[in-house]
Amino acid sequence: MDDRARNRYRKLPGRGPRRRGFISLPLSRCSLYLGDDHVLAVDSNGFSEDYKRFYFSDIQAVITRRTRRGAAWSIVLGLMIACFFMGALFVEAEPLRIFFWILSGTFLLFLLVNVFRGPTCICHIMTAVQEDQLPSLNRLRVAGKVIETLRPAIERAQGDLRPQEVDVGPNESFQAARATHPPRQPRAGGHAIRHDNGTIHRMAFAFLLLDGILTGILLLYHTATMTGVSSVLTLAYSILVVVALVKQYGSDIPGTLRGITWASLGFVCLSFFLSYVVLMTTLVTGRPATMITQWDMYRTMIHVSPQDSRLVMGVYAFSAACSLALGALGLVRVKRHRHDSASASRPGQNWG
Amino acid sequence: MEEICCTQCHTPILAAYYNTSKLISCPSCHAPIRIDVFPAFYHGLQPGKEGETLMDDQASCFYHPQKKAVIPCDHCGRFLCALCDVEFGGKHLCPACMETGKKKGRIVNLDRQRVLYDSVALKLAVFPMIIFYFTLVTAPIALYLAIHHWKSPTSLVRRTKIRFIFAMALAGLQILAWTTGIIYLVSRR
Repeated sequence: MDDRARNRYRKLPGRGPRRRGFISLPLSRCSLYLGDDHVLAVDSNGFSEDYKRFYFSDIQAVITRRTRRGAAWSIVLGLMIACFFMGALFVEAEPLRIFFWILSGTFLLFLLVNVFRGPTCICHIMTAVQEDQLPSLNRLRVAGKVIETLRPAIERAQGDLRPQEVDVGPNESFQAARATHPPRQPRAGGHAIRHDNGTIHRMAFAFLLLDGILTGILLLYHTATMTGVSSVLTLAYSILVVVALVKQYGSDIPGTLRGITWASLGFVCLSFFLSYVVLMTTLVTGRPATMITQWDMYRTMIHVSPQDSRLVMGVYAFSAACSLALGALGLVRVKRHRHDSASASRPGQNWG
Repeated sequence: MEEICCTQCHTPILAAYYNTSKLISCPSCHAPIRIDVFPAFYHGLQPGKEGETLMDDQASCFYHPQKKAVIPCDHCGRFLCALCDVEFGGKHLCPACMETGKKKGRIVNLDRQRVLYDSVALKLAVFPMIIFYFTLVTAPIALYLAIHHWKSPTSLVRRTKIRFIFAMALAGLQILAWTTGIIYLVSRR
């Protein structure tokens, strides 16, 4: 009975963290191994390993879905590089300039690795009794390679597909199932998809566009009042972007619009970070003794003009360009979504 | 038959989209999706076998005396009916042997979790070196773990004892260093 010696596993490409939830610490890493008659999924946390076996004779399907995780990382890394590159160009202090060059180089390396690894995906394996995610197959290229490795072994165990099964069986069964059971409503994360006409998105992008225009004017003509209005607008669209992100979950908001909203959140985070850098630079180079309270700091900040230094000019230019681009793109996409929704909901048509 | 659904919006996907070897767009959420379907999907679940009723001159199942025996257990040799016959890893086993094999770890394919004593011992030998005072306590524990679990089954997919060897070497060196230090301090007084 002891078949310990008989089992030999071959490592399959890919390794990835098993995430439980939207934001979670990846406590275990998953990898796949090819056995004699099964695929072994190993979840390792460094101290112990959990095993799950998928026998070749039981595997019914492998479902791969491309995700935007890789693209989102590329955008975030690109923004970080742009930010530190700008710092390296505009900051006068030599040690800080070297530090920014090193940082931008490091993030460029991460970006290149991310681009080289290709688009990201989520892969599920389906048997008669379960559908389980394979976190190690998180890149399309790796998933394709693993599926092609598994295919001969699975087909050896299950036999070839008969043409009548492929052409007639599933379609008939599907139609029969559809006839007896009403079609399920599309769901997102287990909830029914609801309609959202993107009002919050529209408000957020309008504020963003307005702030972009105002920042553009501030580049040429700076007044403390306009800077104050701009900071109020920034606060407003920051809140609206977060609300829009919450509202778009489980809604019929199209993917592009979701992407622009996420990019806007990235921009909000980045602009806060840049403001912090500008504040610190002003604190160091200005008169720290006069800035005792938060209000003093804010008053100092709104009096900082783009003409004061190259760093502030760069931050203003970058902020204006991003706000204008994201705001305009977002508004156009919201308009198209509202138009599509309106035309689909007319009598005799179905949206979604 | 089960239906295959989009993993994002859970909408059933038509069979025409299966085995296209490329990404197709989900009809509902437009997520790019690829579905590779294998013959088991069309065969579905096979119904379980029932033991046949015993006739006069036939051998009976050890666990069900009124049922006809169809096969002996590959481990204990007891006669089994179709209901008691568990086919696993190319062998026919009775439920009792299966349970015993699982408990004693004889059937590797039933192992669901393993503690990596070699990794634990190695980490216990390496990480406390950052604050080296801790090694006074952790080095003996690492050495004990490495020796005590030398023969314990480790990972299913890793086979070498190199972590145990490194753990023992490091823990041994730490103990040696502490012993030398203590002897030196005592002899100086």
